Amino acid sequence: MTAEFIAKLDVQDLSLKFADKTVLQHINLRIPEHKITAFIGPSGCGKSSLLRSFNRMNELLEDTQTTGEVLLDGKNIYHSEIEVAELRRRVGIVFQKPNPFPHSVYENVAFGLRLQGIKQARQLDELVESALRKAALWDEVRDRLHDSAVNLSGGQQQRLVIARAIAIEPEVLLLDEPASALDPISTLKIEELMYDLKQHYTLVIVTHNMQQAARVSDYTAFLNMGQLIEFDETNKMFTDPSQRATEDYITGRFG
Amino acid sequence: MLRNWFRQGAPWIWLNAGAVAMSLLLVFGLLAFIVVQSIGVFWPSELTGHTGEKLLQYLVNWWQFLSGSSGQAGIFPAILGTVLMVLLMSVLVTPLGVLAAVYLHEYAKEGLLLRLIRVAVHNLAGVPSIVFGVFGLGFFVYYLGGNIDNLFFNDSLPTPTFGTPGLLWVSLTLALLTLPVVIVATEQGLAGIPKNLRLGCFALGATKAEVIWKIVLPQASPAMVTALMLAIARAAGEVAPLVFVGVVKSVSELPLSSDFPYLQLQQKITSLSMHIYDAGLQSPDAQRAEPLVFASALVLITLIFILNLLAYRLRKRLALRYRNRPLPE
Ligand SMILES: Nc1ncnc2c1ncn2[C@@H]1O[C@H](COP(=O)(O)OP(=O)(O)OP(=O)(O)O)[C@@H](O)[C@H]1O
Ligand SMILES: [Mg+2]
Repeated sequence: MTAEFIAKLDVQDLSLKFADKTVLQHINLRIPEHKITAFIGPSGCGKSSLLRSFNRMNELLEDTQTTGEVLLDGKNIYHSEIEVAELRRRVGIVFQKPNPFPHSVYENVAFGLRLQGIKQARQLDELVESALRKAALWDEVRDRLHDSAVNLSGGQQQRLVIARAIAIEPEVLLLDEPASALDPISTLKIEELMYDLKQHYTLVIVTHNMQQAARVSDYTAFLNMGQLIEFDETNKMFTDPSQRATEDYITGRFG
Repeated sequence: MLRNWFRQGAPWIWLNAGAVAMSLLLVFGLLAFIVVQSIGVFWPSELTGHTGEKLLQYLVNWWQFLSGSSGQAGIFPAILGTVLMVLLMSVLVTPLGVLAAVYLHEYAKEGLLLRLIRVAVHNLAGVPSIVFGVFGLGFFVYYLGGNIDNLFFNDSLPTPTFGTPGLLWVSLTLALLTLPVVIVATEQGLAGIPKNLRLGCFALGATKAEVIWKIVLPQASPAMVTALMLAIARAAGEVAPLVFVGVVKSVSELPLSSDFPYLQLQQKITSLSMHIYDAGLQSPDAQRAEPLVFASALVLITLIFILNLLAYRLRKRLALRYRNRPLPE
């Protein structure tokens, strides 16, 4: 588990509780800058919760309690003086379930831009188009930009919320199963997008698809029952995992 | 046989259908009764004459009834009074109720205090309206109005300007009366907004205020209109509490003027409900008054119907603009 990289996020002894239930236990993890890190693990092991703790989304849910630290560029994001809104602008997240706003396609993507104070129509048009292109959605919605986003198909919605998140150019992008409702072609496009994005951004993705994790990620973290079991380079992890549990999970012999 | 009949839920269905039929019958019966009673009031009584002429006369009579002042046995001041007091009430109660609901639902911490406040709001809805009238007289008219007079209208004292019943106090009393309805209905609207939408908004770097302003309030706007519809329907029918604070049988001057600020807030008004009460019970000539009472009732119902129709269309527009239908599976 040697790691010679710059850590964009440094998770230190992070634990999370929902009411009385411990969901994450003493997680220590460094997320490399300008790389793609994949979280894998069985359902309910805490992948989404860990992702949410990187931009303090957990505290918006009922009755949660976080202990430990997460350093973003060396600064603890749980420090009381951190501006949470600004943090979330820097660390974007795309949820497991697509949640488009009940506005038009255009307004969905422009939403975050408007929050940033961008008002000029021309500039908005350009940024919206470029975000939609990157999310591989432009061709499908260019003629219906002003239709309601809730009428898009599930897969289109998934790409729309990705476009919405990348429009404001976060430094870190957290993607929770971004391709779970996508056909192979769209999936490929999203994977290409991730590949492009990592030149400038740091990406963390959650996936249940082992091939996808192996294909796109540089590093992989395996979680089980709220604990980090193993973290390593993806190549190493998929060819020569050091933990038995990891091997069992990857090869499908888990359980 | 009989057992089967019970097991199929037949009695239940009959009871339900019966209740629906009964309600419909009552509502439409009431409407039909009022229409039948009032429709012929203004038909010219002369036996001779062309039907066309009579029809014209009929319409003219209606128009005179609707537009005439109190002295001419018309109800224009009452219509105007009802519309003004209800509109002014809406202007007062909507922001107040919505702000209170947003505070209670979005900002206040769950706990004993919040529960107490909720109980208080719900109980306020159950307070008999006459109590609001007495409160309005004591607090609004004498206390607030008296102080306003002391501060701004000192010259004209001892003749009170605002320290006497008037339109402003009528609307304020109505606003207070309907406040719980607006708060409760708006809160229900707020509670119905999917958590996901809020999270999505926060995730894009919005502050709490921005989430409320950009997602929560637009999403809750149809519920607010519904709340207002309920409030208006309740307010337009009130008589008793308003007698304390500025509604009178008849007025010599309308609460409107041609120069700024156009609206005479300190003026006493009359309302359709008051007119119905007064003409129906206080008139010395019951024979003649009764049909006019029904005509006024018809006007009141029509007015509320129109207001509701407007609100309904507004709500539909809002719901469409911020529609949040899930995809059909
Ligand atoms: N809002 C919540 N309230 C209470 N418990 C929660 C909540 N969200 C998640 N949990 C619990 O936290 C644990 C971890 O959930 P999490 O969603 O992080 O798992 P996951 O690894 O993302 O699972 P999946 O692969 O199915 O998405 C689960 O046991 C879940 O029941
Ligand atoms: Mg998950």
